[in-house]
Amino acid sequence: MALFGQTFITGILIGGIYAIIAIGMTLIMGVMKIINLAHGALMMVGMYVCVVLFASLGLHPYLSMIPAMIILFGIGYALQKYSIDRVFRIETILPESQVLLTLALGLGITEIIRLIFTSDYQCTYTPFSAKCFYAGGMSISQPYLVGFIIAMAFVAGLHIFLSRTDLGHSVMATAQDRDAATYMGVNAGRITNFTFGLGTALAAAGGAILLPIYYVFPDVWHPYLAKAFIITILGGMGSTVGALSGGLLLGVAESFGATYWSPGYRDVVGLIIFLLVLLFLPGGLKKVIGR
Amino acid sequence: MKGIKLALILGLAVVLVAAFALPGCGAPEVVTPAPGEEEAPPAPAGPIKIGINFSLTGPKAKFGSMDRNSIEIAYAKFGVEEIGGRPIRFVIEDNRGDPATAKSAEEKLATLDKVDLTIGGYSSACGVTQAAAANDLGVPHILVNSSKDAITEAGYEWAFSGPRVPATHYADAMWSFVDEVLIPGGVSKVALYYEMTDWGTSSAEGLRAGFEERGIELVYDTPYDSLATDFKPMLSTVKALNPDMIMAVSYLMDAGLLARQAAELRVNVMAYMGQAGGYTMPEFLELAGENVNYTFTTANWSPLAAWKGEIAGVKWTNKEYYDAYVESYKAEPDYHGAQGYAAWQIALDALLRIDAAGNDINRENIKEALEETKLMTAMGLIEHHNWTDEMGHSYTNQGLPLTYVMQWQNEVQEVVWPLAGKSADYVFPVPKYEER
Repeated sequence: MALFGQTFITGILIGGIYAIIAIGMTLIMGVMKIINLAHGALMMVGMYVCVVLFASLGLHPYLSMIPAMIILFGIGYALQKYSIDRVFRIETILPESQVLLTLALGLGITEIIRLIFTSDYQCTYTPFSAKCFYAGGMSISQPYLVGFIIAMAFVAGLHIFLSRTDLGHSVMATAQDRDAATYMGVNAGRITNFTFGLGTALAAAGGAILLPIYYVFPDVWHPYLAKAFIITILGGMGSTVGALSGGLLLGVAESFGATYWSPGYRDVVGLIIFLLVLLFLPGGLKKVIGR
Repeated sequence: MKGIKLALILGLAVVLVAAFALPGCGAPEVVTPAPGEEEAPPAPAGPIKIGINFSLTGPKAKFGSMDRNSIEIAYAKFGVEEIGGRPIRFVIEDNRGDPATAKSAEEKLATLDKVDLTIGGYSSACGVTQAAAANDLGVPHILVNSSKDAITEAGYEWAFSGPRVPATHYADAMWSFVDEVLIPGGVSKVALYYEMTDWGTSSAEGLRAGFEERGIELVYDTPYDSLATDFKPMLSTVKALNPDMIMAVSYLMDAGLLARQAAELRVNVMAYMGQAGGYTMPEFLELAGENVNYTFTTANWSPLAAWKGEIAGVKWTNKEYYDAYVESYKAEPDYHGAQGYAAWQIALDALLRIDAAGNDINRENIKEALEETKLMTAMGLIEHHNWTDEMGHSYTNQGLPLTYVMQWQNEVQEVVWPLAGKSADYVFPVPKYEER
């Protein structure tokens, strides 16, 4: 029973962190209808901002998360406005090319970071990184728990923002029908830039939450980009609740797969879910949840 | 208009393909490892070109950089800048730890740069493609770290194991420790986990056979993905199985995470044994903090080993290499670095022997000289020969450096086995996490 409980808790906690990384991608995908393959690389940049602030000012990643989010919001906004949008506006360019552009941006960002920081692993290990609660033969890692709570707070905040504020309504309207939103007076271009910046800032938050329990190096983002993509498909594009549910489901499924099948196949579990959702639930959990 | 679209898509595709495929094949970086010195006038026969094929960027850059740094230290130590009037030139390629890039880099070194000898390092997956390409193209190749057994089992005449230990022999010293200390101390159930790469699976093969031969029950025997963030599901399963010992084959990042998370879950065992790799790296301490303590690890080298010798009239000791590395790079080397140092010792010895015999330095003669290598190096005595082990592996041009068992004590690695070379007494059984 302790093994089952430990597996479930571990899955939920890591799933919450997956969700915060994926929610930015699902937001961007919902509004722009393109896959942002630079999302993982931008998360990695956020992690490096935190590492620099940790090394220079001794700021814990939970604190440096705020400046990292602000910086990454600016980077995301600028990338969208001066790069992706320019390609987006040319009707003769296929959407596939826009996706390739985001991939090229991701690779370019990675190599720039490699030039600056080299490929060395960087970490922000503190005694807190190994703190745990123990109960009923199970352990709950404090950095995982705090990361999960922060992630949930961001998801809740984003949900309230999107459902209760005018700006949030504009984002949702642009996501639902860009042309109709424009006719209703929404500046769809500016909203798209804002959404890309917001999604990127959330990716930075996810990276900052990961730092106390993981490491950063320029290629760290590859598996997280894949997970964010799976969660976006699983949860449904543009849905915060869907992304949260998808993140938790993926985390728990991977955890149970690693415990009861094989740790070598934990990613296979995610891919199987991905395929099943595509085949039997093309709209993702959003269709089931209705949000 | 369709033509423009097609051209745009094709253009982007070409850029992407180039971004993935070409970094290892760019303009060669031809350097002498002693910057600042004036180049000697070109000798009539041209320079002796040494191709270096290492992972200098990417996730495995730590290992490749340590290899290269150690070769530079060896080059500076022995001070041989030319042989037979021909200057030595290094052509350095970065394979990014990618097997396909490692192969293309090897081919480029052999065909475009026309090097006389190549030296290739981390990882096993890269070593497989490098050795195969070198053998196909007829260029002598010294393996530095790539330890998958199959590389020297393939019968490649042009690939030389140099200072590398085959993966299934990493634990040679450990077995006497198991027989004389762990089994009498009560170890009868072992959990084995290993990362899913050539090195991990090749290592597990030898470990599995060794435990089974001793009648030790393997209660867990599973590969894992070394890029995972969270190993707790695996460690929870291991904890539930209550083994006496954990045997782990890990790279650096996963070794650090496993040590941390095993402590968090209080996976108490009598001994946690890592198979070299990440467990011997100085960065293991940085990544896992105090959780490194009491971890045993097999090791292929120790700065405390009393190896010494003379090459090109220059006397050297193993400890001098360690000190030079720390002084130059403000970091400690581990066995990967010592293997790089030894690789240049082996290469230089072969080149000097060819010159001393009055022969031309070319690929054929280098191959013949390497076949006759019998040299004391930073990894101990290296002798290239063909042999078969008790597990049935038949190796070509393979030496067998000594191995050790080390234990992290007070955040420092100590040699604890063999007893003759120990720097500290082993601690076994190790204290429970909650009692540390």
